[in-house]
Amino acid sequence: MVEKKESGFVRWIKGLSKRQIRVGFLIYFVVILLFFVFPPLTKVVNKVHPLVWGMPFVMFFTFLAWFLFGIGINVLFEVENIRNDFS
Amino acid sequence: MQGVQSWIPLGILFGYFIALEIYLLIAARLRKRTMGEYAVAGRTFPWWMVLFTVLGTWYTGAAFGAMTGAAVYRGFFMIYGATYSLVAIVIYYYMSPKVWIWGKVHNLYSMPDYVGFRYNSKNLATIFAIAGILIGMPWQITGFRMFAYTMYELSYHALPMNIGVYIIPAIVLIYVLAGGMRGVVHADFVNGILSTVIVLGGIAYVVQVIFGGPGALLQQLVAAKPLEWLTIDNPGEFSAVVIACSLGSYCWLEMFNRIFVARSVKDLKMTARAIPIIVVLNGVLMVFLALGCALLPECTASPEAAESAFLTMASRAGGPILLGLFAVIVFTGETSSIDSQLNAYGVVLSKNIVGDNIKGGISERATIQISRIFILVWCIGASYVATLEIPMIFAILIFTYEFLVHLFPGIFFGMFWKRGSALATYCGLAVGIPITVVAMRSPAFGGLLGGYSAGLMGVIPNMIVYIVVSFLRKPTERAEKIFREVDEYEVIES
Repeated sequence: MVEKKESGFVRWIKGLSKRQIRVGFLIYFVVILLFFVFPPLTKVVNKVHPLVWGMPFVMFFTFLAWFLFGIGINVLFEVENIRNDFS
Repeated sequence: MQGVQSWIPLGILFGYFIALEIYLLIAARLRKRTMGEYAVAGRTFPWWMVLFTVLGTWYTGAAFGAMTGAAVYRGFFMIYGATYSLVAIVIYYYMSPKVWIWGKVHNLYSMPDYVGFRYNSKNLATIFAIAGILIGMPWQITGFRMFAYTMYELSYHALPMNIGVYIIPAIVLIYVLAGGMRGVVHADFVNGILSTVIVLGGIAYVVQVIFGGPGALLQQLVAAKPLEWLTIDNPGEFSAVVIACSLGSYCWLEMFNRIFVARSVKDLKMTARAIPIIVVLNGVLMVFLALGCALLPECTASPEAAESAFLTMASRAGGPILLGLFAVIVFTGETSSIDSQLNAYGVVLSKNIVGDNIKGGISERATIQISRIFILVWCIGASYVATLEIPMIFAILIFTYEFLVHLFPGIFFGMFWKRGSALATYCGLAVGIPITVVAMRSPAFGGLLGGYSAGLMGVIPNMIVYIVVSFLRKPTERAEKIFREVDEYEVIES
């Protein structure tokens, strides 16, 4: 039986420690979150102009941030799935 | 609306609840008279069943009214709801595996069970149990009142004002008593599927029919509203609300029961993976609907009109049938929250407050009986109180939430830090709570401090004290052992 060769990306994922992955993603989530919980940063994006696809800029940014949150959790899940490391 | 048509929404609502009750009494009865079955349904549910139970933490029936109400008066500030639920999901992803593993290995059934186990302190568990129940009670009464108002409006004032306070809790009571947590999870699953379908299809339809679609709605908003209205009007307050709500959601008693019902850690994480997809889709649609209601005079006439705008717009776009379907969403959203609260309160009172404090303990059967009697008595009492005029109810709600967040350091830090101790939790509470009390009472502090609430002002020192006191002592042997258990369980499961 021929063993399926793992891609470089999978090998890299498996080579990282659990702590590196968890902390790495946590930093990602916190960076997005800061735009909503740190008022000086909130003020940077809290603007109507420029309109993006007809949306006020803050609305576009909020939807983008929600989307990035969702993507982040899904990618984190996939990474843990590759490593078979869920707890 | 006159004649038969005015009864269509109520007919849809009652038809749905009768069908749901029959299903639950057939499919979701208690299988064994054990605490494992009654409190956490045997820890057997796959992720797609757990999903809507967990989602019920943030999407209550009142949330729909809160979003439209906030949109009318605060504009884009209303996005706090979806934002904090996404933040809370990140917390859930990191904390739920440890909670679940300890729960599985040591037969934990509730949040006070976890606190008592983690800090090896029965007294701390009892304090958290009493605090959790006292803080949650006014919120349940408010939920019952919402049933009354919404049913009264739904019947176009044909039904007596307070009838909803008795009918809907009675429906919930039957399946909670008959099925325990199994009944709750099944009910939330059916409610959640239906709500998601109606929200996704219904809101898109309403926005299309009333405003001509999202693009046209945005053009109308930009033309009709001041530009500031389309931004977050007070970023400081906004950040405080997001932080307090996301941290506070893990201090509700029912949250831990919702975690314990999953059959594995992987199922919990699958839940966390799926929830943002639903939250983002619902959130985007609700933003358009809620902002749109600010353009309609019938939704902006009064604070009450703003809070019932969700139903007003459904009626305007789709007549009594869509109104009935939207009413189902509002009611099931609230019942999905109240059912797991009732179950959690019953479990916590009978086990953590009564059973664990009686010398020699009590049997599992007796614990379940006490739990059921408490739930029954509490429901009758809460229904009666909900019929009274309580002018201070909203002040009480805010007051309780300011204290709820103080449970967070003890719950959360102890989960990740071996040094965390019962002493650190006591010291944190002893410093944090008085600061919150002073901040709430002092005119110099006011209700909000640069946007930060009194609860947050107190919980920050609470956290600092917890960390400092924990640093002073080395982790106990027991703490080392229970943290090792998580790692060992992980190896076995993988």
